[in-house]
Amino acid sequence: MKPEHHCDCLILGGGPAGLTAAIYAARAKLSAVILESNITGGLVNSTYIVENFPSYPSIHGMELMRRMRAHVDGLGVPVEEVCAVERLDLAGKVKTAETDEAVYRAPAVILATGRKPVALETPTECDQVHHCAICDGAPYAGKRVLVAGGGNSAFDESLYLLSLGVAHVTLIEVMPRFFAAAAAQEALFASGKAQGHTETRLVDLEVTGGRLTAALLENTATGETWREPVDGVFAFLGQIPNNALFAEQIELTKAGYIPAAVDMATSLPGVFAAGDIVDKPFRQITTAVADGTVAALSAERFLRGR
Amino acid sequence: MLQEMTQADYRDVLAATQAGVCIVFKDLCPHCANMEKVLEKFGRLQPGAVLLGLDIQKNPDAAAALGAERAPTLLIIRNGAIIRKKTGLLNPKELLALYQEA
Repeated sequence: MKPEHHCDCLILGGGPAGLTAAIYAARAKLSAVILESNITGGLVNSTYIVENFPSYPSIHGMELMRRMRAHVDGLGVPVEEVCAVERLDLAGKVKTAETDEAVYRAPAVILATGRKPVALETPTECDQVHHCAICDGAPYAGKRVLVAGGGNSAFDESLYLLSLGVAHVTLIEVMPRFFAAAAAQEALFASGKAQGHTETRLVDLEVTGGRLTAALLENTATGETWREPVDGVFAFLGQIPNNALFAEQIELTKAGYIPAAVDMATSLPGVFAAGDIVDKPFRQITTAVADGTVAALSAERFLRGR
Repeated sequence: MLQEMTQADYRDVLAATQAGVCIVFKDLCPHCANMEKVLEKFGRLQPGAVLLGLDIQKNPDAAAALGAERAPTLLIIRNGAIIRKKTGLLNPKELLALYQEA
């Protein structure tokens, strides 16, 4: 029999939205618990440098989230990390989340499960395909890498790879243009160590003796294919919403995001949403923090008004 | 909770380990931080297992000697020898299964 815990507000997800919601919940004297499937911090943990979070002109993503987590810990909110939620029931007045270790019940829930990176799929698999430059970039000093993706992550991480001593970056984007900020594009191509190809897709990988030797690329507009010698591939192909736990229980958009009201209320009473899982035009740390604030204050209002 | 090894002592520590898991990690690597939490949970499920750590940046030669090129890499140890290697993320149940199958 798993132990049962009762609280005012369950927070699913420990990224910027979930952590901020916990801070506001604690300040409102609500008992809250954060359930996080990995470690707190979310996608920000994989961001090399954050330069648009007020009060920190430039800070490592993991360091920023460590500080946010310390704030939550200081307020005494329990955080369950590496926590597998096996069952989530959002119907009724008391919501239930059953994890691998315990059962949690609360009248209010904040869904802040965020998004996860899209995995690179190729016919040939190899160990030299990565999704985190911070984690896996160092061994590629002096070598050539392919970066798949044309958004801010792809360009920022390419710059980081060059700072590690990577000799050359080939960047590919399937769309007709790159979508990263102009400053990041200028900085990367001004390095003289990067080449970009739009309307280009990765067809396959060439592996010899267990090591990646080349990427096979195709220009989707002309049909031209070529072999690009590379030692590693880094994929930054965007993200998809983490909605598997509640996709059958709550209204979602076609793309899988939660259409939240201005007070972050969802289609179910007592269930609020915050952060990247919400259907919205801009997904930034600051907008996630704002959502977490509103969701927690709305949860408080909901609980006091019952 | 993790016993951190160094370039100087890793051979002796491994040789003295009857049964355990070593994580080759890197500071400011989110997946490594994740796996350290997984190891904590694994330690509760398998209290007899020795939990070791090796910082790949501080001890690159030791990591290379152990065949760990990337972080996080998990090494399963039996009777002082590495009998299994696994790179990337696992959940506690998957790690327990890997440990018990090895």
